[in-house]
Amino acid sequence: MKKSCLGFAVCSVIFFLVSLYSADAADKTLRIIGWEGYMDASVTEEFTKRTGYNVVATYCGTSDEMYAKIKAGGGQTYDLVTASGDLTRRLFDAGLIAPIDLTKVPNYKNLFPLFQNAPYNTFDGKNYGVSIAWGPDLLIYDPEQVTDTEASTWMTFFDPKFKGLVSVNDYSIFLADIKLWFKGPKDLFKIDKAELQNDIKPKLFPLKQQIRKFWTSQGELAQLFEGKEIALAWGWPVTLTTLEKDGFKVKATVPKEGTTGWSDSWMLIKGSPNSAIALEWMNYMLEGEAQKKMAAVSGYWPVSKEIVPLLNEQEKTAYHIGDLDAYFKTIHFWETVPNLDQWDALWNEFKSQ
Amino acid sequence: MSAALSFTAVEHQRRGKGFWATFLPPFLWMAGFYLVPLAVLLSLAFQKHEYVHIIQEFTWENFATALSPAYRPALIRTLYVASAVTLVDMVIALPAAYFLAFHAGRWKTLLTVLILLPLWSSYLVRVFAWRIILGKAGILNWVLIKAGILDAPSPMFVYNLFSMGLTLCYIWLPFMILPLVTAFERLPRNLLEASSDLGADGFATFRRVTLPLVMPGLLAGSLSVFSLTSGDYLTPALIGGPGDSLVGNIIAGQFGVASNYPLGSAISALVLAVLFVLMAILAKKRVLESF
Amino acid sequence: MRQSRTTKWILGFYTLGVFLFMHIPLAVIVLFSFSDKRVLALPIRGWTLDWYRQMLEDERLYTGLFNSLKVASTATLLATFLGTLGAFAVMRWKFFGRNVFRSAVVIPILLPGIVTGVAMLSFFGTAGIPLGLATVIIGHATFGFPVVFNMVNARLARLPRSLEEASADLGATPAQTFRRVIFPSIRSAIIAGALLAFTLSFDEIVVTIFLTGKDNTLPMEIYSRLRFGMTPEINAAVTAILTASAVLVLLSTWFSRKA
Repeated sequence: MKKSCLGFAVCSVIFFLVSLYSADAADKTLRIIGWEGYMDASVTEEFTKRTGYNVVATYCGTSDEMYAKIKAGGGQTYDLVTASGDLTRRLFDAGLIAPIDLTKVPNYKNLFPLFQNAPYNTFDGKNYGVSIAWGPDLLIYDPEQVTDTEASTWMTFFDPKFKGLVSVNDYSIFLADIKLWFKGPKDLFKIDKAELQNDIKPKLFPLKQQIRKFWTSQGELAQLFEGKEIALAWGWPVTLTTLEKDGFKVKATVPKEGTTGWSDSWMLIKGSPNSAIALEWMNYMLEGEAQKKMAAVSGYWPVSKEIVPLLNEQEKTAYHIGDLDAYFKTIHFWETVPNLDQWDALWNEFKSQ
Repeated sequence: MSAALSFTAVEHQRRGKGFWATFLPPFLWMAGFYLVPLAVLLSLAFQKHEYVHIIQEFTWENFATALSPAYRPALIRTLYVASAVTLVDMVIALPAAYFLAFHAGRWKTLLTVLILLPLWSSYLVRVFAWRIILGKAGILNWVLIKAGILDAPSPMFVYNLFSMGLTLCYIWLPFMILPLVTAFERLPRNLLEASSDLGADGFATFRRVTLPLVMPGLLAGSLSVFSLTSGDYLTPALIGGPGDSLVGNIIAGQFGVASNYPLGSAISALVLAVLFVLMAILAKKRVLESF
Repeated sequence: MRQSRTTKWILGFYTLGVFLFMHIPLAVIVLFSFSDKRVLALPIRGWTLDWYRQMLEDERLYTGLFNSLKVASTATLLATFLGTLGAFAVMRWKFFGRNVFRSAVVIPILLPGIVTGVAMLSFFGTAGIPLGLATVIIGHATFGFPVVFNMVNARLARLPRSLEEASADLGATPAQTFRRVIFPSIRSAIIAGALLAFTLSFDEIVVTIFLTGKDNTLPMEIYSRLRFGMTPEINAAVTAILTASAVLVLLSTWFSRKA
């Protein structure tokens, strides 16, 4: 047995030599860190065909995860990030992103006015982001187990009938949702330590026994539904399109308490060696066709006027093209949480109680 | 290289070039790539984290936070889960390793390879395999329903402390069996024969002679399993229940999600303290040399 | 004797049970790599080799595999070099702090990988060293080093000194003694240590997650795919690696028997 290891030693030495002497292929890749749904093959194929650059995606389940990875890896590791409203300011404050030269993104002017120079990606009068898409946090449910009436309120999450059948994202931003459900939509992202302990905690903790599993990726959430492990969840439209593709029926709704949501931007990581191609990608993603493909895969709502002629009436309604400005106001968009460490502590306490 | 080593009978007294040539490379590597990083980690534990900045200002606050109700349950859970997993693996591994060393005969090589085999597949995929086995739509439920024991798929096998413990026992078992097999193999057979010649029955021989002799191997395996379990965070995340985070999850969360390096460092420092105490106890028993 | 035979049978069955426990998950992985459904659940209705075809056409899996081999072989070489030297230093010379050194060397395998990972992450961050395969290699070599050290150290401890003395008495130079007497008797320990270090590095993920940059090792590639759920394609890849390593080991056992 011991002698037999010689074979292995020899093999590993050979692999080592091979790896040393084989030159790395020319590195033409655009490296994006971000949410699932934006870097699907149907969208990236055309870009690769045009530019010769492959798009390599690193997916994260929360904004915090993106922040930690960018902080550790920087521009050496990633060129672009898909940053939601709770991340954009933080990246700017930490000095991790670079301003964007809009002359290299001619399609910027085709953004719906709402998304131009938006407050969540414009800092000190400079543009640091280009919008990608937006959308709501939804109540997703399995119609075989949950009725439409039950799904019309977030309070169903606390219904003893669904004990052990609920899933929410493992993400402390969820505390803002708890505030919204119980205290209404004021100052959702400014919750200090006292309010966390006195107001949020007592409402949040009963949810624990209802939860089957915290999901960390939309694929995981989809599999929880498919395996009938859960009946209802707090989630994003991309899970709906994924399940639809697999032929599994779920429904989604915005309950009567209203909901939180996000508006995402491409941001350029400081120190990225591929900034020119990164700007080209931002520009490409605002083209009508690209927006249409992205929306189809992710279920997220488009931001560019160029998509409008490509849509049928049903799609226009679904993407809120007609009532954009009015509907946009009804969603409580994620914002930077200044005392994130305290939110995180409560979230951990909730998880491990 | 070999010229620098002088192998004569007296080099225990004299140290020359040979000593420095053999001692310095491993020493410098250890110091530069292990001890210095640990020192950096420890120094972070005493600094302040605020929003996106680390403030270089001495504070004990991180340790207070680490022991607050937000993080304490995970620390305590880690202690008992890791102890339980170690004990269960001990019970599983002892008889099997004994059999392998003494009764496996010509199958021994094959069986040893079979113990290593799981390590050549993917750790992640092996954890996931248990999800396929234990899930609501899983193999176990399917078998139980086919056998008429269950009427409907039961959710009780997965996403809880049981499934996490089972998977941890499974994943780290080879690290208990391997040092035990080695320890049993090194036993002087004539000693065991002498014991039975002197009239001791099988169990008495095992308890009085065999067990004390394999104790260093057993403790070495236990320390490995305990440490591997208490540092694991992917198994709890993949197959544990919604609240079953271990200390590894908390540390990974502070570094990989919350970006609160100082708090993560403080929690790591607590883990280090516990393990150093364990090691100090075991070092007395010469366990550290039997890995 | 009767009792001991009964004991032996009981032990045998117990061991069989243990081996079943260790290998049923592997069997599950292999089984589902041939299932024609995407969902990993029983019953399996049809069989297919499609997942293997998909795996063979999957460039990112190759890249991951290649990176893993690169990391594991480099880290193993470093670990073997450092571990063997360290074991010699400890066995051959008395020096101040020798016992501390011997105990300290094994710390990297005793401390949880995550602590090693975050400590190195903080260190590389502070020192401004960019993360990448090089930092992964440093991490893996650091825990591979004690693995080799322990194996060689244990073997050297049992090597009778009279052997060297005899060699010296017979007029061999120290170099000759090393080459002809010492090295042959510790060779298998070095190889066994290197093999274990390679095995641990090849499948390592806990440390790798924190130290890797833009390049993924195979376990990292699998990890990033698990986000979308487990697919039979990953099962196929793992089955292929499992088969390859088993065949390699069996072949080398066979050759060493013949030799």
